[in-house]
Amino acid sequence: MARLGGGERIPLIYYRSPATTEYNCIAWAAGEIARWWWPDGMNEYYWPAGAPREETLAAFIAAYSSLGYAPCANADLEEGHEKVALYVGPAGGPTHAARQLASGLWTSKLGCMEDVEHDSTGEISALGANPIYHYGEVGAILRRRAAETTAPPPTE
Amino acid sequence: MAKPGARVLNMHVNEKLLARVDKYRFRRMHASRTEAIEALLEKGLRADRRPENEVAQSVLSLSRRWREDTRLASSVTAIAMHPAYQEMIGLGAEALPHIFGELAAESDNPGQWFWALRAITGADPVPADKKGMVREMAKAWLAWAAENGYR
Repeated sequence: MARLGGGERIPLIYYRSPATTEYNCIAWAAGEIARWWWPDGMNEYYWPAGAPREETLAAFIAAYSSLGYAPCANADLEEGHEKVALYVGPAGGPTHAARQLASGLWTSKLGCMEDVEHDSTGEISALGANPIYHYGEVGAILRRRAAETTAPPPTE
Repeated sequence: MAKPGARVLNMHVNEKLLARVDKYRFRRMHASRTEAIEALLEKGLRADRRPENEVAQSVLSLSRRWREDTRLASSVTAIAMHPAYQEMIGLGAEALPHIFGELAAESDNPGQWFWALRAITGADPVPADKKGMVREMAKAWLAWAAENGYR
């Protein structure tokens, strides 16, 4: 990883799309660009049927389980598998998801902003000026076989 | 349904103001409360509301702060619990024309105004199969705004 002389890290982030509000990181990691996924209490946004509509890591794992993902040990690139990293923020709730590409890079949709590629899951942990909105640490790594392409289930 | 040609005044009216309006109608034989309110406004009455441009400025500056702080957030809850967003909800119905204006201006990339609109209006015009489709959600809300005299 490139570093400045003072030890400051240079983020290796490539911007891959225009900014859009049509989908968020949770949808993007699930392979969808038509809906914003979130288990909000007002039921305004999409959440897979069968997954608990609550902002917990377990509920997010259940949402991705509906697409064939299951928890695994690490974020290493494994041939024949796709991986998703789920992030947990400073307040303890899920904040973000990133999907590993066949190249080993990770792809993330940044809120209402662009899709980006980054070299590791940690690269995007503390983006932005306000720590309240930092993505935080990876709370779970999920994987599925690369051939499994399951369409998202309908809204409850 | 408003009568053809009828004007709509988008303002908060309380009992005290209504009593004053009716007294004025009785004295001047105005045909409707709307006309009486307009006549009183022309006479310099300022009803119990913030000036229109003050509300517009508030929505504009609060929405800028909200967008800047939450642009990287995916959590709808985090986005909606931002203090500026909550402050906009607190402006109540007076903020609606300005929120709908923002939503209409963002047609390609609608902002996450939907919690605020639900909270202020109590309405839920988005069909279940459109939940999460923000352009469709924005269309549904803008249609609701037109039907209810906010646009």
